[in-house]
Amino acid sequence: MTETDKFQLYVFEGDCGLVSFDPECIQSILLAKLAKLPVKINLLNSIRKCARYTAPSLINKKVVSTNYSEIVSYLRTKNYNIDQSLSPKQCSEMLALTTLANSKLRPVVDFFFWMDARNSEDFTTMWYMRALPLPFNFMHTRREKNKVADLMEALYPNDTNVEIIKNFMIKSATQCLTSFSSRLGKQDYFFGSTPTTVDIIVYSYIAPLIKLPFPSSEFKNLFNLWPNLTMFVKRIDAKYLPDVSVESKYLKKDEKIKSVNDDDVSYTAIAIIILSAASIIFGFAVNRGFIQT
Amino acid sequence: MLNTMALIDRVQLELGAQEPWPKDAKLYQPYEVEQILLSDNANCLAVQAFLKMCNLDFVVEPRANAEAMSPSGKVPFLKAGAFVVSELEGIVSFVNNKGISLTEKFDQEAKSDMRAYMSLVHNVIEVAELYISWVDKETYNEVTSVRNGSIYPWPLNHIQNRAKRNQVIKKLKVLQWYKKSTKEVLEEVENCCQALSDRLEGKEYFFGTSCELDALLYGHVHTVLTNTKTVAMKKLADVIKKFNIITEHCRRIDEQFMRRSSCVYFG
Repeated sequence: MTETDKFQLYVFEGDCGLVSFDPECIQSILLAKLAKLPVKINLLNSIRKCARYTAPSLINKKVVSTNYSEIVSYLRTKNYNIDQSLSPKQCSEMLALTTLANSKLRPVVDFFFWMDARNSEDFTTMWYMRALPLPFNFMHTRREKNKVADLMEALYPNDTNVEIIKNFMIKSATQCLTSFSSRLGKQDYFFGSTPTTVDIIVYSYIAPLIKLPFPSSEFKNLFNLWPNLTMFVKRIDAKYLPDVSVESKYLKKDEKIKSVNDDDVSYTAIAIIILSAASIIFGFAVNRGFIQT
Repeated sequence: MLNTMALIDRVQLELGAQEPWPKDAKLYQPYEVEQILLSDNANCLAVQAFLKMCNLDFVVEPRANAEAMSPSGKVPFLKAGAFVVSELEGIVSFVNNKGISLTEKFDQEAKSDMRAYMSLVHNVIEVAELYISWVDKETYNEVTSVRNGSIYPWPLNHIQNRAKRNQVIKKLKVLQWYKKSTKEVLEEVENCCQALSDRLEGKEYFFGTSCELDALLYGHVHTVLTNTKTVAMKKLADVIKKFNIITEHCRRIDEQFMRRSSCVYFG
């Protein structure tokens, strides 16, 4: 197995049924699986690894590719290509669909991870804080937040109000997902029975939105509109990523329940209030002589 | 201010449908000869082509400060009756709400394909135009800075140019285009044109009849082919000229809808 040692892929860890927490890492892992690349997947969870590599990065014979498009073009030179069987017209459609996903869905995912106040503070940031070793968790979360803020500024230069941007986001995401859903139709994958690059990209953006237990759940309910997209995610999970645990590793269940129940009033408090109100009424009645003792 | 904008957006959807197309619809855009820049020109032309495809009457109203007047900060924008709508996508949905649509006979799949190709044109050709106008030194010095600054008096033109350039560069950085070389940018455009030409092969328009995608592509191709003042602009035009199917498509729309002679860029 000397081949295996040659390809090394460094990615962020996954959680909650996702193979990785970062869309670009999901893309790289899925690409490696689909292309049947003999690769060793390393998780960035120690100071030594975090200091040396960024996620995702693929290392082969001292050639380092540090983002998804670089990885794709590097693997093409090594004859690992999953889109070989497509006709020129299909390739053209593929390019268009990938651009649509990258330009419309990517900002939505980024926004829900990092800009939405509740998600970012209660979920994403907390998760990275625990998953990455000490100096890197602060560095990474800060870098990502700045990146997404820049992206939003570039996309919506006139709007600074997060709520308005969020409305735009939901609108454009709905439109875009409707397109994908009707394009997918009843097929297994976008181009027939085998997955291609489009499937990887679309999966990497919609899987986090479906699976992660975000505190603000505007998006989860939206997916009820497109059952075929949910099925699509399940299909890829079952076939290519079967051994991913659904359990949440870093954010424990009880903490989540606690944060969810924040708005609810506890039963003890209600009991105390009822008891004191009843005793006051009772005291008042006795005092006025309504109840004879 | 922001909230009112969102509100207007919603009101337009609900009320806009009830009124017929007004007689005095005006399309505001920068001055075409002295001021307009590559990507703005393309977008303005695309909207004009779209409105002509729909057979709607409008007057082009050049304004030096059109960009500042537009509700989204981007040109062109349309004033129809009491409503102001900007950019191609907004104008298309505004027109659709009035019951005029070029795509009503399309099936769902064709509609989603159209949306995908439109995002391809927006994200490759338009960004390439921005890159050439603002990052390429020669084009910036000889064309972009002169044109963009033409409407301001002396010290202000430099300040405005610099502010706008920083804004565009920030956008290019976010899209990961800033660190590309001109050669890589042209390669991206070539890939995009290849994809468009493969899709268009053997047909007059992308989906049988003309639609907003044809208008958008026409706007960009026509603009790039007619603006070849600097080396980089010429190279960009040469890339597109390699694809006969695309230049033919552009010529067809020119003759059928815009009714102007298009020998300029085929000579």
